[in-house]
Amino acid sequence: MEVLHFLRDAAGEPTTEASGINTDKGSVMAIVVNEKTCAEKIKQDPPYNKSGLHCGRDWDGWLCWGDTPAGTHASQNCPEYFSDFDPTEKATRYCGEDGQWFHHPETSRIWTNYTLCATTHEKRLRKLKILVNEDKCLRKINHDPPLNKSGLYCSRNWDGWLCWDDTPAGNYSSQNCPDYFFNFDPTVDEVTVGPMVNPEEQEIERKKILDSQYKCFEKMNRDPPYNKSGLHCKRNWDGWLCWDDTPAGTYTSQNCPNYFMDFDPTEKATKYCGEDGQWFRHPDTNRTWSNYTLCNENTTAKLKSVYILFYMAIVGHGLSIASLLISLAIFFYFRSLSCQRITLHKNLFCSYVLNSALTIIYLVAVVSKPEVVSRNPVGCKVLHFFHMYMLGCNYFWMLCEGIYLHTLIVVAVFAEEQHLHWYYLLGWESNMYMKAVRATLILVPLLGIQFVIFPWRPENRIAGEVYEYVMHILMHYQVQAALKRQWMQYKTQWGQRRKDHCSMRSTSYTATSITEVPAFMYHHDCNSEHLNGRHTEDSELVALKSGRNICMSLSVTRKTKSVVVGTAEEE
Amino acid sequence: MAHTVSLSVYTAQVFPTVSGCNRGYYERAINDFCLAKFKLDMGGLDRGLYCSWTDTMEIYEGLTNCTYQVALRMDCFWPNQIVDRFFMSIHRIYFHDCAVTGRLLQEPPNSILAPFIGVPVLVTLIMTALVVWRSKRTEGVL
Repeated sequence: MEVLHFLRDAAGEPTTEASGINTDKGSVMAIVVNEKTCAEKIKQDPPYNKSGLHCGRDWDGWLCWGDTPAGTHASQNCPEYFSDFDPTEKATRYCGEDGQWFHHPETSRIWTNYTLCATTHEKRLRKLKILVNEDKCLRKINHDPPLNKSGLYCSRNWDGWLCWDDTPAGNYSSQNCPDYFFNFDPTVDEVTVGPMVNPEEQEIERKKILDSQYKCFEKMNRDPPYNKSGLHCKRNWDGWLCWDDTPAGTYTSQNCPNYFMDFDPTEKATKYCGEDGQWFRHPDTNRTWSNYTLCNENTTAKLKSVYILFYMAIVGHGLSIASLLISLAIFFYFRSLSCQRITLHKNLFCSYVLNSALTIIYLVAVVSKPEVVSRNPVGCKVLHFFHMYMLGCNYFWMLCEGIYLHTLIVVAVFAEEQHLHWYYLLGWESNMYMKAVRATLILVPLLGIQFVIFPWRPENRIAGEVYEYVMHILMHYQVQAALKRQWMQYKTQWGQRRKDHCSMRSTSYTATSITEVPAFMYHHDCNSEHLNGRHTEDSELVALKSGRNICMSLSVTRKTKSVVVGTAEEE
Repeated sequence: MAHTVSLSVYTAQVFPTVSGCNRGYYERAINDFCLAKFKLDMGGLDRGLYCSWTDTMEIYEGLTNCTYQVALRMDCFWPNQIVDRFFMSIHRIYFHDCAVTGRLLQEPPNSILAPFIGVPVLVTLIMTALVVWRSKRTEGVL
């Protein structure tokens, strides 16, 4: 760093030899202002009225010097222009015997001694130490009981460096020399002996706290002042969280911070503002105290329940994968089953399988390992991306099923709206429609309602846990229930084949579609097959026979076209 | 001479309490020492970087830590009202034109989130409507 030298030549014009310091605009302005003030002072002050030689008043470029008697030092406080100038130190100037200011031997220019002003970090450190000891000493002087021996004694005092007790007359008192010229540096982290926390975690912790602190002080500055009447406790930073101005006699609360592993951010930290407008002080230590006890109180219990849910999720997803793979095997093996609807199902099941697989991988590799989360590797982000993508795919396949269903029921059946109300009149049509509606209403909760109501988790801890268990069970077992139905359909189809081979209508593609989607238009490949009323009755019978899980057999009738049934005869 | 002067000044203004923290001393200590170092460090930074967390975080942390350690040695609780006032004035001087929000990673602003959420929703709805409409048309043809 350079030091700015304002040198004065014979004519009295200051010249700056910038070997300069970090002058920013502020300090330059200050210098200019002071120069103006000095110039005026030089003009207006009364002339030197004492006898004898003196050195004349003068502006040296930084400070203003008045008339000084010959042979004396003049001194004043160091200016505050620069960040490393210590304003408690003194700048001095010597007025020689001959009535001339001291000239520096090398440059032969008038020279002011600013050397003491440029303070170093070590010097400040030393001063701080002395200050700390002075504080301790004065407290001790007040606190210690008076000397109880008789006779003369020298009283306790602070000599600027060390503290001296009351000493009986005629004695030497001694103590160890102070360590001011050694290294205690509060700006360097002292050894913090603490539990062996992961240093990376500690750093993240510190960063979070520091960030909150920064935000807090910004908020404290920018928030409008308290405008309600009555006493209030002032906004403050308690070391972890920021607290606003609070009316006297009330509790205020906010969510616990997430700095530490065992702090639950859904719990609340509270602070009480007393009736007198002062924050609550803890009775033991008498210091302002915020209540963070709830943050880590129930952590172990919650952790346990989280682990239970975790294992439940893994088991559930595993079971889902198993049953889905079985059903996919059935679909692929029995080609005769395949049709448009089944193709959609296959795709849906595939997406379910992939979703469950990725969820299991995600749970095992990421969720159970917080150190991975804090390391934040790229693989984790990729995995998360795929997990979210599969989840989206899952929902979209459900949408596809829904659209398909809608297309078949509404579009196919009610293609021409003017016939709509006639459909209601015709007995079996309205009957079909009702069944479709009923089936759809069963479909919705089956496939996805828990995702809709999941956010409304009850506040109460125990009710919440029950709620979560139920939801998890629903999510995992719905698919298995669906597959069970599929199996039963398959069984009934085989049964149906044997029973109705004498009937006039087709049997292999019978409308006893017992599926997890209750309302089904039975389609065979790309052709639309239509079944007349009688068959429908028959299929209803079959439906009744096959048990309550059979939701529906519905036939597509394209009434507007009145195409006759064409089916294959089957033995 | 200087020492006796300072002593009398202090005994006149701020008489130390029996136990605990002498606030006047503490305030003086952090202003003389911690603030000076902070000023020095920030002075070394370009003015435009004051709002950049990556550049100022360590200096800010140093200041916080300094006030903490001095408090520790002076038997003061940390933080306290003096620290609050101290930091508020620091913020007013150095950070008054910085963004209010803290500077760790956080959610993107709404102007970015909204399109990311809105567009897929719209696309989904449009696709659904399209599929249904196409089915209707196909039915009509047939």
